[in-house]
Amino acid sequence: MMVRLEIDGKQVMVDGHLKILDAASKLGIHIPTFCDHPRLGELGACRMCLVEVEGMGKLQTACTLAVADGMVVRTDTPRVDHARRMMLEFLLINHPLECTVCDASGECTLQDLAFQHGSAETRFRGKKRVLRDHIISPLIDRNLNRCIQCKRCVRICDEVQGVTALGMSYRGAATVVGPFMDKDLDCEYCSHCIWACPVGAITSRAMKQKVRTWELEKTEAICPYCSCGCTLLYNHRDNIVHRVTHAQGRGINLGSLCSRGYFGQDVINHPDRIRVPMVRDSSGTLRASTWEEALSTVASRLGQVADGDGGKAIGGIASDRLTNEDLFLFQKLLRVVFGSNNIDTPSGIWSRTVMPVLEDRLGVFAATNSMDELNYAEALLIVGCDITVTSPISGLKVKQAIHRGGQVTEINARRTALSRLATRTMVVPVGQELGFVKGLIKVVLDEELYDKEALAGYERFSELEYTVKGRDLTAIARDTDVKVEDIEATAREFAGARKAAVIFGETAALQPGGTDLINALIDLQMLTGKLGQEGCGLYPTIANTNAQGAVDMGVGPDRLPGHLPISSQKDRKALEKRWKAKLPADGGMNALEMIQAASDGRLKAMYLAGINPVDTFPGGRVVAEALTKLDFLVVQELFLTETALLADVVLPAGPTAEKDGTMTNLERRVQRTRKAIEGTGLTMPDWKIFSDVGVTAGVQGMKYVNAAEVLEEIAESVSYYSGISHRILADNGLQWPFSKEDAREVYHEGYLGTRHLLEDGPPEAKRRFVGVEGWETLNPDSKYPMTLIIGDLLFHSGSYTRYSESLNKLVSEATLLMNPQTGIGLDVQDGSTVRTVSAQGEFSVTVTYSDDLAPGVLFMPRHFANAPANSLMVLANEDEAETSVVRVRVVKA
Amino acid sequence: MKILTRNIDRPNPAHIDSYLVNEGYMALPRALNDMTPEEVIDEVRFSRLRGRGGAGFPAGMKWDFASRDRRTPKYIICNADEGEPGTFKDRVLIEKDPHAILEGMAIAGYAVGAEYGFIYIRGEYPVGARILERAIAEAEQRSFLGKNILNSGFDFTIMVHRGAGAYICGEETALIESLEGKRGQSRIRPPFPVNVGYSNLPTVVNNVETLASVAPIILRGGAWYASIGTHECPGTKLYSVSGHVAKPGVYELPMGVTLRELIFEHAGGMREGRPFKAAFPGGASSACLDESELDVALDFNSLAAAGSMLGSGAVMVLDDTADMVEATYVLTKFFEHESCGKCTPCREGVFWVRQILSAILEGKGSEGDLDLLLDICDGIQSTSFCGLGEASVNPIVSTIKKFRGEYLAYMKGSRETGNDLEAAS
Repeated sequence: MMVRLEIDGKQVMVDGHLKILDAASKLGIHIPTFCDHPRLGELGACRMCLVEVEGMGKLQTACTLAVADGMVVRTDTPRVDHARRMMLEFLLINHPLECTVCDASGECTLQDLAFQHGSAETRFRGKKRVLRDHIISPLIDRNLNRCIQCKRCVRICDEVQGVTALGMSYRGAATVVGPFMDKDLDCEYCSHCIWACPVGAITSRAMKQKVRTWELEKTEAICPYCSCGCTLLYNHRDNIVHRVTHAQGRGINLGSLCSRGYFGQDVINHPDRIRVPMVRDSSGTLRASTWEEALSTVASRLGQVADGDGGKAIGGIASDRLTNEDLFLFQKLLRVVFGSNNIDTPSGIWSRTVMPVLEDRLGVFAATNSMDELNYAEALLIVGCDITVTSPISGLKVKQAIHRGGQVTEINARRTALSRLATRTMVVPVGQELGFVKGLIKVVLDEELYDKEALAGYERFSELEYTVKGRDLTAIARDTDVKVEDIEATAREFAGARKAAVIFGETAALQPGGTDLINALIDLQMLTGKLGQEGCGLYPTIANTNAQGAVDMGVGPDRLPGHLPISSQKDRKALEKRWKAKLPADGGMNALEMIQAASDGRLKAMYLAGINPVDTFPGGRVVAEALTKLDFLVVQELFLTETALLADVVLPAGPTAEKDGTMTNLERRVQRTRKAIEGTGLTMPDWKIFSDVGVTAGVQGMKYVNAAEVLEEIAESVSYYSGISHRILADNGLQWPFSKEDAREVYHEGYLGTRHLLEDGPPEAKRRFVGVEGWETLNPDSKYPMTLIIGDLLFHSGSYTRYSESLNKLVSEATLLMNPQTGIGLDVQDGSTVRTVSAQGEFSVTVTYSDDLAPGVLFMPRHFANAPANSLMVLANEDEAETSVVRVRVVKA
Repeated sequence: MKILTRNIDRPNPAHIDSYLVNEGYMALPRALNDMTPEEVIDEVRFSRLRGRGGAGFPAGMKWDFASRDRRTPKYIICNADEGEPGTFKDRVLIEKDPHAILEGMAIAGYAVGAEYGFIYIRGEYPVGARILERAIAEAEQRSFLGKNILNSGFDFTIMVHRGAGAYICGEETALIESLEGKRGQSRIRPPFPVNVGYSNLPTVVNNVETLASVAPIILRGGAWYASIGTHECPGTKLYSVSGHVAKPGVYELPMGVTLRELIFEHAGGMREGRPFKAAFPGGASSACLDESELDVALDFNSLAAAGSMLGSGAVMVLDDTADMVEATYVLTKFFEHESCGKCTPCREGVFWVRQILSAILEGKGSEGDLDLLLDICDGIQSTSFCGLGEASVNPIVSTIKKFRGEYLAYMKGSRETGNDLEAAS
C-alpha cells in the first residue's frame, strides 16, 4: 500500500512498509544514523536519527517508525538538531580521538557526523572509559574503546551470516563486543562485521595502518573465487590493490562477501607473482625472456606440432577462473590457429557428466532459477553440497530462507556449517543419498502428495511407481541410516511448499553413479510440480568461478561456443564462415584423456592457462610424468607453480583485478568486471596473450584492441549472448537468455534477462519420468571400503588461495577428517598419522576426529602441499574417474 | 484495610492450607465454573485495577487486548523482578502469600486464553523462588494448576524463572528477552507484548501485586474494589517505606493516602523525631518531594501532577541529616551501573552526569555544572530508548530544582568534601 506523507515540507508517496528514514532518503533528505544498516532489522538504539513527527510528543527514531498516510515529519528543527548534537557529544565522551592512527578515518560515520553537526568543543571534563583489550584474531582487529555499541557487527553476524560469533557483554558504558567469554574469534571470517562497523572498532588486521582510506580509488569488479559472481570493490593506489571493500547494494551479493572474497585478494600483490615471460634455454633452465621471444617460441613450436602431427597432437586446458573473453579466445586459438578440439577446463567433467542430464531431462544447460529466489524458499533440499563453502553467498540466501521459516533439509555425508541452522541434516553415507531421495518419492506417491491432473501428460509414471515399490520406508530408513519420520517430514514439506527448490553439489553428482541421483531429484521435482515456477529451482552448484561461461564460450572438446555440438556440420560451417577459418571436425579429448594421451605419447604439446594440474588433477605424480613427456609445454600463469616449473615457456598473466572482461555466474548472469590496476612488469591479461599468440602465428582474425572488441565477437558467435555489450551490463549484468527488449534495457520487475528458465514447467516433449532402478549409487569395493570426500574449505577454494597470506593464517595444512567411531574401528587415534591408499596412489596424513562425518566417510581438502589429495584421485575415463569422491582404505602408519 | 496482606500474619502463611482457610482458591473455581473469560475480563475492567509495576496501565484493558489476539499459545508473565531500589513489597507477597499470586495468574490465564505462565523472579530472591516452586507443586497436587484444572478442561502450567541480576529486566520487554535466553534489553514498542511478547506470541505481563489483587476482585466484584481508594486509582496499594522513619516496612493502604499520613500515622513518624526533609515517593527513579509537598496524595495521578511518580510505591524518606547531593550521587551511581547499554543517551549520558556529580562532591564543581547537568538530563530524558533511561535522571533534576543550595554549598566550599564515594554507594 502506498501512503503520502510530508517530510520537511516536501510531499512524497512511498510504500507503507517503509520507515521514515528510507522515505526521507527518497526525497534526498539524509537522516544521520549509526545503528541502522540496510541489511539489518530495526534496533533504534543509537538515537541519532530522531525526528519530530506531528502529533507525537517525543522525538521518534526514523529508523524504526513506519510511515503512515498524512504523517508530517520534520528533520530540520532546533529540537532535532539539539538531539543530534547531544548524541554526538555523548558518543564522543568515550570515543578516543585517535583518528590520526585509525584505519577507519575517512570513512567513519562518527567522524563525518561530528564534522557536520558537532561542536568543536566538548563539555566533558571527566575521565574517558578505558577498556582492557586484546587481540582476538589474526585477521580481524577489535578496538573496544572505539566501539559505539551500535551492535551492527553482532547483528550482521547473526541476522545475515547466521554465525553469532560476536555478542555483547557487560552493561552500560562498560558494554563490550566480543566472542563468547572473550575467547579467540571462532568464525567464518565473512568480513560482515568489518563492513558493518561504522567506526574503527572492527577493522581488517591485514590492512592495519597500511594506507589512508581517502587515498584509495575504488573499482567495481567481480570476485574470481567462486561461481556466485559477487560484486566487490578493489581499492587501489599506485597500481597496487591495497584492500577490498563491500559494494553496498550492488550485485547478487548486495555488498556481502566471504572470507575468500574479502581476505583472499592479497594474492594479487604476492611477491612471487611472475612478472616476465620465461623460456627454457638449451641448458634446460627457465630464464627471463622478451615477449617477442616467448610468443614466437610458442607460435612456432605449437605450429611445428600442428604441421607435423596435426592439431590432434595439441591440447589446451584453461582455468574456468578466466573471463569469457579469455576463454573465448583460448578456444578460438586452439581451434582456428592450431586446428585442435582438445580443449577443456577443470570443470569440464561437470559440464559433460552433470549438465547433459539437465539438458536431456529439461532442455536446459544451467541452473533453472536465480540465486535470489533462494531467499524465499519454503522448502529446500541440499544434496551433497556444503553450500557455505561451495557457494557462500547462495548460503546466505539459504540462511535468509531459514530466517523466514523455510524448511531446509541437508542430505550429505557430513554435517556442514549450515547444519546448525538447517531444519534437519541427514548424515547419509556416500552412495546412499539416492535411497533417501527415492524414499521421498515413495512418500509423495503413497500419500498422494502430488497433483494428478497436472501429471496427466507425463510418461512413465507407472515405471516411477514401480521403482519405489521394492522397499518399504523402514528398510529405506535403515539402509540410509535415518529415521522414517525424517523421510516423511521432508517429503511432506517439499510437496506442500509453494516454493521448493533443490541444490546439489559435487559430492552428490561427481560420485560414481551420480547421474542416477540427479535423475531421481528431477523425478521428485517433476512429480511434485516443483520445476520452473518462481522459487522452484534446480541448482547444480560447483565453486568454479566461470564454469558456466566456459561452457557458453565453447571451451570443451565436444561443443562449440553456444553449446553447439561439434558434430553438427551446419553449426560448424556457420562458425567457419564467421571466423573465415577451417575448424577441426572431430571431437577432441577431454582433460583427463589429454593427460593419458600425453602419458602414452599421443599428445605432443600442451597449452595450460591458469591451471596447475600437477597439484589438482587426478593422478598426482602421474600427471607430472605425463607433462614431462610432452615435446612442448606452455604454461600461462600468475605464479611459478609445480606445473609451470615443468614448462618450456611460461607466460606471465594477470589476475581479475588487472583486466576488463565478463564472467557468467551460476545463475547465468553475465557480469562485467573492470580493470582496477595495470599489470606490473611485463604481465598481460590472458585474452591479450592468446590474441598475441594467434597474431604471432600469422593467423588472420586473432587481433583485438581490447576486451570489449572480444565481447562484440562473442555477441555475434554465441546465440545466448547475442546483443550483449558493456553498456547493457553496466548495472548488475543480465541473465541469459535475453530478448531484444532486454537489449534496450527494459527492466521487468527490476530484472534484465531471464530470471528463471522453464516458465511453464518442463517442456512438453520432456515430460517423462526416468524412474531410477537401484537404491544406491556407489558400488562397494572391498579393497577400498571407505569413501573419501575431497572438497574445498571455507578459507581455501583452490590452489590459487594457497598464495593468500591472510587465508594461510587461518588454515595452511590439510588433515584427514574421520569419524571417531571409524577411528576406533581402525585403532587410529585423533592426531596420529595414517596411510591413505586409493587405486591411484597413497600418502600419509594426520587424522583429526570429527563427529560431523558419517561412519566410514572421510574428508580432506584438495589444495595443500602436505597432503596432495589429487594423488589419490583416480585418473580414468570421465565416467569412472574419481575426483570428488574417492574410494580408499586407511592403514595405520 | 487488608486485602493483599490478609494472609501474611497467619502461621505458616505460604502453605496452601493456610491460604485455603481464608477464601483461598475460591475465585478460580468461580471464574472457571460460573464465568466466561469475557466476564472475568469485564469484572477486572469494572474494578479499574491499574498495574502496580509502575506504569499504572489498566489491567482489564491489557487482558482484553491479549484475549482478542487469536494466535496461540499465549502467556501470562508475573513480573517478580522487583529491582527498583527501595521496593520490597512484592517480596512480602511472594514469601508470605504465594498462592494469591498463582491464583491470580490462573484466572488471568483463563481470561485471556493462556496455557502457560512464567514467574520471572529476581535472582536476589532465592528464598522467594523456592517458596513459589513449592506453592506451584502444592497447587498442582490439588488441581488448582496443571492439566484440566478442577475438571474444568482448562490447563494452566506455571514455571519459575530466576533473573540474573539486571535492573532492566524489570522492564517488561527486557524481561521477555531475558526469558527467551537473550541479553536483557528493551524492545521497540509497538508492537506491545499483548500481541508480540514471549516467542513473539500474545503475552500479558503483570506485576506480582496486580495479580495478587485479582482473586479478591473476582470474589467480591469489580464494583467493590473500585469503591476503595480514589476514583482514578482504586484499590489498596502496598507502600514500601524506607529511610529515616521510625518504622520502615510494607504498608497496605487505600490509594490516595497522603505522604504525611503514611509517614506520621502509619510509619511511626520520623526517626528520633527529626524534621522531614525530602522523600522519593516512587523509588530511585522518581523526582523527590520536599516538605511543602507532604500533603500530596500517593497515587498515580496526584504524583504525576506533582511532577513525580508513584512507580512501584517505594517511598524513601530522608530527614535533615541527609545530604541531597550525596543521595543523588548514590542513586545515579545505581543507574550508571544498571544502564543496559543499548541506547546512547542512557549509556553515555548517565556515565557523564555521574562523573559531574563525583566532581561536585570532591569539591571540583562550579555553578555552571548545574546548567550542564540539567542540559544533559534533558537530553537523556527526551531521547532515551526506554522508560528506565528517561527516569534515571529524575533525582538529579528534582534535587537541583528543590535543593540547589546544597549543590552550591559544595561549590562554594562551605560543605565538607572528600567523602568516601565508594562507601557512599
